[in-house]
Amino acid sequence: MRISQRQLQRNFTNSLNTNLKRLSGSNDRLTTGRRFNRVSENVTDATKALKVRHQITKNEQYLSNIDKLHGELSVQETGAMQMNDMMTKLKELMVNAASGTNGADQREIIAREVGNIKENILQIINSQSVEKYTFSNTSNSTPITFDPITNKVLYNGIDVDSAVLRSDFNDHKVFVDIGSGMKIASGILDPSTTAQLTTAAIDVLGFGTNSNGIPKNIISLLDAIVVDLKNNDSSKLDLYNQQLSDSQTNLLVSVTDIGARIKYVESSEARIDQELISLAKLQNNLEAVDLEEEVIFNKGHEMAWQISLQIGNKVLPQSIFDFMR
Amino acid sequence: MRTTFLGFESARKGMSAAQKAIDVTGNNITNINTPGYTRQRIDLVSMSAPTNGRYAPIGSNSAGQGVAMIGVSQIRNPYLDARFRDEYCNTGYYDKALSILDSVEGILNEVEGGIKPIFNEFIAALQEFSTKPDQITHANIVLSSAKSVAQVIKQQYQALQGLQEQYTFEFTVDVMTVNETLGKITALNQSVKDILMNQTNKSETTNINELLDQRNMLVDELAKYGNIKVGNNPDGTISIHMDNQLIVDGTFKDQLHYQINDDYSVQLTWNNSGQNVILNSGQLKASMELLNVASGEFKGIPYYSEQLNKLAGSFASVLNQAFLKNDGSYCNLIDGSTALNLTISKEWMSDAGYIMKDLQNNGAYDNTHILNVINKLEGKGNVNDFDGSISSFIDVFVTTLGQDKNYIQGRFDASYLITSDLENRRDAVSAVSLDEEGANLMMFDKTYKATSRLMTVFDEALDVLINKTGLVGR
Repeated sequence: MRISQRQLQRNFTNSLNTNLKRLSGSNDRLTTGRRFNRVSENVTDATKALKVRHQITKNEQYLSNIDKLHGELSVQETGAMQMNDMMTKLKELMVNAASGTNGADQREIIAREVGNIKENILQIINSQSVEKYTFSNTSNSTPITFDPITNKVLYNGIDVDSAVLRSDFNDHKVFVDIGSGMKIASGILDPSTTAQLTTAAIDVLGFGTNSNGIPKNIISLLDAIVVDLKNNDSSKLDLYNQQLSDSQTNLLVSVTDIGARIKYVESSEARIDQELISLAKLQNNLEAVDLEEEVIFNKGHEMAWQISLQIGNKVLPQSIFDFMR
Repeated sequence: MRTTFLGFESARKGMSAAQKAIDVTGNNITNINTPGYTRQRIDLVSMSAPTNGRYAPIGSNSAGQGVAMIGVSQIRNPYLDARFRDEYCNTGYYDKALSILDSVEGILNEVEGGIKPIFNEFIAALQEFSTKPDQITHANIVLSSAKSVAQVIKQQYQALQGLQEQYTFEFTVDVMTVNETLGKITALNQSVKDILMNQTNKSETTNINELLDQRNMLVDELAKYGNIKVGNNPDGTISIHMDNQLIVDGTFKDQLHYQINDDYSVQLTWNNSGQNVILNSGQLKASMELLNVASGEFKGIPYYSEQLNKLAGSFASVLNQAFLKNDGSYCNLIDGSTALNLTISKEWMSDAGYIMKDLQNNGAYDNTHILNVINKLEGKGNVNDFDGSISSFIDVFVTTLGQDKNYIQGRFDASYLITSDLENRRDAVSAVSLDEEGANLMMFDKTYKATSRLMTVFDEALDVLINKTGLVGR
């Protein structure tokens, strides 16, 4: 075959271009750390990587939700446990108060102590974390309030003693999506597919009155006890004690409920953590450049490029004219 | 009988042929880098005298009359020309398609940036809001990230529209180039025909090589735009078929006529017949396929614009059917349902808490609505004619684009290799080789010197005859 200068030059520029393109592709991969910067560069892996990324984003969101749950639920648990301790102490006081040997002075002192405990419980139940009351559902602008004039305990502005139904208090529990396949059918949420974030004060403390007309709400109950003790009236103490036990049981139900929720959230956290680890590994395999390998390739491409430059330098200018006399 | 001065004439012809050969060699060397130049060769034949007729020489009298130049021809292989033009057409097709899809991929790039991160931020904002459904701060973040989603969809759509306009413009330039090229080819046909008709010396062909080079270059150029077939006419002109239509024949030419519709889709017809142009390959075909809605092998710009519209529509419909008002109707959060007119409604824009008020049920906030939106945005079947989630809808059209571009890139690389191989093979025949020309130069130099010497030999012989003959004993 005849070889003309134009062929030599074309082949040279073509191979120089090819080598330079390979080198620049490899440089791109090294500087970005990614195996591809466009989907078209590696369609299969990029498609998988897009799915994996989405999964990672979702799981990270769930983890952030779980963090929030964790924080709030622990505060709630501590508060509920403290209240439970106080209830136990209260029962001892009530045994003292019930004994007939106590005089009016003695009962006055006990009344003051019961009053203190009531204030403590109020403080715990109305404590605030970051932006909200610890023990509140969605309507958290109104904590448990005690109206000194009417001697009524109010939640959400509603008298707790005269309330009959839980729905009288007009609040909603806050549920959080933690990636357990949240289900909502025709606008109604299936609570088991999410985690409950809030615990309402009214659920912890109780509301309404029992069959004996004794208030079920702990604050309201303690208030009644204080009033009776101050008046040295021990006639209802037995009924109060009975309700106190019931109320403490109710409180304990809340404590175990919060504990169970923490367990649930923790197990979800462990699952998501595991999933994230394997997803991150997968993402790394799909998207990240194997540095050692790429550096070796890069050196190879660089060498090929330099060699083609050198060869061009040797081949292109030569012809018979260099040797004619 | 041999005439006395016969040898002088053949020596003169030899010298003149050698000089002309050096001229042609020089022309080859000086044009080594001229685009489209085909190497030329002087056509020499040995002189022969007529052998019949009244005054025809008898016996060996006609021998030794030297060399005759009958013309300067160029060295080309028509088969390689046809092969090259066929493949160059494919290269043009894939090149154009690649450049359009590359631009599209630059806009719809989900590997770095894209719609999904913004979309995910919106979902994150909703998740945050769902934990504190009574707080205006979080409602505010939801509003501003919804704005971002609407904005990014609109931006990408506008960028695609810009591309559509730009490539439509390029298409019109291409069409004009083709028309101009057709005009130039017929003009050259005219010149070639005129020169050949008017040549007076029938024994020597007039040099039209430069015109042929120009015409071949133009035909090569034309091949990039559409598949053509070239035929030769007896009068030296050529005919060209494109899309089985005769578009050039001698001095006759057809022209392309383009029409741009309101949506920047394009249409191409032949001027003479008014029929649609249907091409097998070439740049014009690539442009038409990727600028028009439902045509061709690959999805064009309008397809991707349509996907963005669908995305915008599903975003609007999910948000507008999420927040129940107390009267049983839904809050109107988004106005418009196409990528271009997707905006946040006035009610929501003026009050971020608009979505909060309607979360109030008997004075208390309920976050079920928020969770419902999250579920719908992540869930399946919210995009028209698509079963998966919004996120996988984005994945699907981005992947379609990636696959198409990847395929075209492969085809382009292959076609480019074949084209440059054919170019090489053509150059192996037609291009100038310096070594060869150098050798020729030396050879013709020697020839010239030898024929000069021939002249001297005859001269000396005649000198003997004229000046020294008959002087015996003087």
